[in-house]
Amino acid sequence: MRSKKINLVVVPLLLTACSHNDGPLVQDVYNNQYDCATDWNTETCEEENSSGSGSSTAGVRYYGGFGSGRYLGPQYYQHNREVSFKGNTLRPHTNLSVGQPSISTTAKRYSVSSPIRGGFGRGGSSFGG
Amino acid sequence: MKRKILAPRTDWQLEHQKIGFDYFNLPSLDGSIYWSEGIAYEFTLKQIEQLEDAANELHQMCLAVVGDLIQQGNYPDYFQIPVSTIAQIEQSWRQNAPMLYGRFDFAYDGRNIKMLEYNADTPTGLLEASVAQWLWIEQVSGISNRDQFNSIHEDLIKRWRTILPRGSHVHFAACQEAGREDWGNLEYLMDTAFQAHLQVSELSMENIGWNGQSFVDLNNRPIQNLFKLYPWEWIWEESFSQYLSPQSNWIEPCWKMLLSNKAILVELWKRYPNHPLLVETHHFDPQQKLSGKWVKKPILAREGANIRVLQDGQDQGAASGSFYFDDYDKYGYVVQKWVETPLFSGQLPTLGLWMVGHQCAGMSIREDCYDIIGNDAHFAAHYFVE
Repeated sequence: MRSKKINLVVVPLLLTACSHNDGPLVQDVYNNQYDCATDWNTETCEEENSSGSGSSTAGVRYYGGFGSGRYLGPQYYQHNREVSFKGNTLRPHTNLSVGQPSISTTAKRYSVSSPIRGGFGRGGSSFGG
Repeated sequence: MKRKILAPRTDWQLEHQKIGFDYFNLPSLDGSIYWSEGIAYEFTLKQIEQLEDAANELHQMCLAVVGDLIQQGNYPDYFQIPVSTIAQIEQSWRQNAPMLYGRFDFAYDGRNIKMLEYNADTPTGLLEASVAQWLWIEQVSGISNRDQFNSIHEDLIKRWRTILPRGSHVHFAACQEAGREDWGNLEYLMDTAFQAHLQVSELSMENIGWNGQSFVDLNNRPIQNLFKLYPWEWIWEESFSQYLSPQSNWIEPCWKMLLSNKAILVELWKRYPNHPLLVETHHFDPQQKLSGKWVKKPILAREGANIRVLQDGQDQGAASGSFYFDDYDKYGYVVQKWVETPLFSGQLPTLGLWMVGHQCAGMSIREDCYDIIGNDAHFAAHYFVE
């Protein structure tokens, strides 16, 4: 099956040469786990600064708390606030997050989000030899 | 070894179409087409056995060189292996990640065999070697007691069964803009996997997705096993390569990067100097003036691209039959001693010896009137008699 090529940017902070229509990879920031779970799902929320967190806090203002009580939702593309989780699409109807979403510096292996495509492949002629 | 002219089969074009070999009539510059119906090369059984043995021996020599390189962890600069790939190369080797297939290209004069290169990562020309050529020998008339060195199809099915459990799902991918020949090869391989009772599906490399946890297909199903007709060196230049892990079961495995790189020819010559099956090959150094006639080949290229002739250290221009592809020009080069091969009715044949797993499974031939077997060369069938 061949479909139209989709331009990709996984992480704009790392791959500045690329562009992605859905914007950078971000995570919503919450004052507590309850708010995060209300928006998303308990299993997709993680405490900030827990191992594996790859978010950049530079330039992001948080409201309330001192870090240990804050939670981050799953990674999603800024202009497409949804993720795929255990075969279902989570698309929050509420937004209880505080401040601006945190921009992720790395796409995390353990968080499943809507797939991004176009990270392989190049135009050109045949290459088999 | 003889070049024979035989009567074309009735409806041979239709026979090709029936098996999906719909690129048989790709045009060549001289006005002819890719498949040369009515042309075939005749061998003796002894010659076939010699060629088969040579391919098996060379394959083992290649594996020994790869094993040495990995054991020493020392990859000469002229391989131009990106540092980021080394862990994956080494892990795939140490985990015995299985290979599916490959093709040696041999120069042959009926007696002396010389390995020109090993297409170990993305060889094509498979459907015509495996099926179209076999149908030809079943249908051709006028040759008594004929046989063909060809168990490629059966061996591919067996190989799939060996390397993956029954019912495993294998995705097959090639570049979206690749030609019909590449997609035809891919779909043929997919068919052999299906016949080995594997689940199969097809997508373009561009459509492979990443969901933050695994590579996925267009239905967002994880890709557990991927056959990619797409060079490893390109994969490593692309953004999704950051997600490759030792758990990525990709075929051909990453350690094949060492075999498909023409710098392996330099290492072979160092380890087995003056071996009768090898051609003297060195890393290209513009300061080094090699006497005599040589060809300068890109370390990473296909279909005879970017090959130039050197005479006593002087560049004589592009070898006839070679074409230029800028993507292959950014890596390094090797220089290989010119191999004098006799022409057969003005045609230069190059023999393709197909490895399936670690055994040679068959042979195909391409011929052309040029010095290099490039994109424009023709496919000629073969047979042998006792």
